[in-house]
Amino acid sequence: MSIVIEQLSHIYGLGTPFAAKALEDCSLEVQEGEFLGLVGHTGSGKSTLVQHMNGLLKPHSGRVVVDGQDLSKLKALRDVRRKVGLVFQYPEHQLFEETVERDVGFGPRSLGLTDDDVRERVRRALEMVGLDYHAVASRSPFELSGGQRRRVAIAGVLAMEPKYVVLDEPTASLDPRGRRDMLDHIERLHREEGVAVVLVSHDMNEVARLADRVIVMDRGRIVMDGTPADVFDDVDRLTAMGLDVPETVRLMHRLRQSGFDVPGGVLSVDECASLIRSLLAPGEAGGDAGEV
Amino acid sequence: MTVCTSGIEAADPDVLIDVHDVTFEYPAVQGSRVRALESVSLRIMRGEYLAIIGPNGSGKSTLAKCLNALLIPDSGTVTVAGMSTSNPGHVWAIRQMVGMVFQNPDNQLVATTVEEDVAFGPENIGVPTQEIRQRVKEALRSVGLEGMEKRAPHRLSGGQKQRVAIAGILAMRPECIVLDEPTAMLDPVGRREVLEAVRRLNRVEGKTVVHVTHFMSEAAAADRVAVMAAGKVVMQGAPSEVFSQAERLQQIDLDAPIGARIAEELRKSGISIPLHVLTVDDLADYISANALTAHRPSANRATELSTNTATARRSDVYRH
Amino acid sequence: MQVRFSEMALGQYYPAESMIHRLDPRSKLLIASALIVGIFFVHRLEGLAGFAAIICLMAVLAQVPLGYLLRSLRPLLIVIILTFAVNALFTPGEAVASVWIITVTREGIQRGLFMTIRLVLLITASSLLTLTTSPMALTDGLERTLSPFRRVGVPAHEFAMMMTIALRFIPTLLEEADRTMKAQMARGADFESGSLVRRAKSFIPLLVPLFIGAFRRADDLAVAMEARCYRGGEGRTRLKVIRMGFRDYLASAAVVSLVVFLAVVF
Repeated sequence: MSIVIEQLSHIYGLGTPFAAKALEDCSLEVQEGEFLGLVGHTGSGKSTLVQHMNGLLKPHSGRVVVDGQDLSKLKALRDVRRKVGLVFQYPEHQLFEETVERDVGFGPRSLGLTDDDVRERVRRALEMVGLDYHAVASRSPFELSGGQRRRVAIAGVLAMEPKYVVLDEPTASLDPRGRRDMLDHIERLHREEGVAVVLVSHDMNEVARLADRVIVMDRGRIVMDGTPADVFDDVDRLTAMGLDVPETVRLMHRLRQSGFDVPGGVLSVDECASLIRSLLAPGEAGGDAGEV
Repeated sequence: MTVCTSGIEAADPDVLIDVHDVTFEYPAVQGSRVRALESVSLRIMRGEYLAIIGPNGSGKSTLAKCLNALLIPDSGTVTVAGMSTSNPGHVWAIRQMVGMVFQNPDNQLVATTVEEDVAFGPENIGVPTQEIRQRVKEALRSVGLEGMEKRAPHRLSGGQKQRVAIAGILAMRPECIVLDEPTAMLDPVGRREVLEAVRRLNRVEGKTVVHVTHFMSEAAAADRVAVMAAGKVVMQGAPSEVFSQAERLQQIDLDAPIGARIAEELRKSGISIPLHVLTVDDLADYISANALTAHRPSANRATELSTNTATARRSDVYRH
Repeated sequence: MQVRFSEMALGQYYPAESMIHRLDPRSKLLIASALIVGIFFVHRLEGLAGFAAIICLMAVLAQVPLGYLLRSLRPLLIVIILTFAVNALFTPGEAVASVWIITVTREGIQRGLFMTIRLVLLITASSLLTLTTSPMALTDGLERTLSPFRRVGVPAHEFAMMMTIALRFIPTLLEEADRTMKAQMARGADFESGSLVRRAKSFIPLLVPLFIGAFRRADDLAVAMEARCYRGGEGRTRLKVIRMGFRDYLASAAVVSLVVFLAVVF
């Protein structure tokens, strides 16, 4: 079971004088339980692409198949929206209910579940984002801090119990601790609930840390698709597209450019440190430790 | 004992803003009062580039707003070029001298075209029409946006909007620009544009810059860093001094930039890396200069290695 | 970069460098008002023909394509047709045609034609104003016109500031509405099906966040404006100062005299 996107094209403002090609011939498959990172410069089409996954946008050519169902053949998209959850940027801006319970319950209620089921879903969803049901359920979402509000908004999508979750820059404008916590929750969600995650992000370090696979988009096309180690190694190409690479990768790249023999695919701080150690000091067994 | 004067006192001319023992509480919301600043003292020197870092809730934004009289301290004083912010008579002069750029690029732009927005500040302080035109032109040039005068704000990228906001402050000819997390809502391209503009303002045009941020790599570029936590300034000093104290930073939920972190790992295993190595570029430079000769390759090998690694991966990864 | 609501042309301004475009917005306001009032005063078709000539001349001078002018009639097409129909069918007089109980009279047709042409001329006269004057210029014009009345309490500057900020934020808010709608749809909101009542209620998840967002923006903006020394209209200078030139006086005088002539004679 997966989301299959085949040769998708989409044109903005079709029929108006402002028509522009947003997506061109995109093909992609998101497997059940996978963790996918989706990167690309602003305007490369990432948001447009993910909005096709839950039927918010319709392709102008090509097709989208979710768990075997072609979206263009479906009359009601409600089921797809349940299965494929989409969390937009700054999701805290969509809160509107009087209590956290009612807001998080909006999705489950729209599915027609019983009150008891809705409450259970709300409780579980809040737990998944690290909020205590009893502490927040009856409070107004607007009383909470910014970080908490964002988590409530995400819980609102998780309460639909989606199989695939797309998160568009979930760490946007969070401080380092907020970012860490958010990524921890996303990782736990992926690991414990088996949810497939598509993480749209500009932060290469977080994508490198969490993703099994990275998709790179450029001007409406998918141009790279591979493991983080493979994709981030082509520093020159990524830089030419105006993208960053993880800091560790950039360090290795610079060293390679200076002629040092360091391998590719180095993503973590520890790996970097041990590689550099061998360049600066002869080895574990004594000798002149320290710089030359 | 704090001495409050309403006149302009003679002070050290190198100190542009003197924050002295400032305490600030936000008014009660739902019962509890929040003490945002607790006996904070800080001096901002003319021409310097100061970064203020700290986790959310550390009081850094509150402190920033005290610098131009948007917020008045409950106790203690903030003196800008000898003028106290607690004196209502000085407020407008202070705000002209200390401009401020905020986090949300959209919610600072007030007019329907770029040039009219940049003109807003000068219009408010009564600059004559002809001069406004001149100032708008110069300000846009300083931030690299000449030619964009007639653009509508909603058609600009985040980075461009922030640069318009900066130009709007520049047109008021301030001495100091305070930027409160200016890149928090921007994409990497926008962030680069804004940082370049800010750096230029400090290095080329000599403006004093106070840059509040939670990006450690941005703070590494400053002359001096002040670290805040729970309403207090807990550390101050050159970036190398501050970022070398990894454990202390971790205690307040901050990290050093990645270069500094790798350097710290290396130091733990006995390799001494100088403290000024903070970014990966610093580290790469240092390694190139100091690697053991055994590992130092020739120039030919350099290019060979660079292309090889990239080509090996190419077939797996490419679509187009 | 959503190209939906926010690309809608606001107030149908058609940018060009014609002599009409370059007139001070106050003269254009005066001219448009004079035309509209004058059109109401004539009772004969010849009078309307005179006005039609003036408007056509101005449209040519304004370099506005005919298509744009005609398009401005579209929203009111039904009203125009109804005006003709009501007058043609219900005016007593000499019958010209008759189907069942519905009678069309000659007087009816004449009257219908008159009313319809009058309506069309009113619409095109106002359209010419908005096609040749940007919303910002209109705001400036209105502010300058109302300024002298500040002494009696008319908040001319505040009004202009409000208009400017509204014009600035409309495209931004439309984009936000789009995003909010999509975000709510992604979690099961349905804006399309159900009874009228149900559909009205379904807008709550759209309107509440928009309002809250708008208030938040207003807050931020107020602080940013204060930081830039905004303290109301006193002592403010302007980047652009609109000035009535020789052409403005000439054009206004010409049109006003023509209008008076037509209104009196016809």
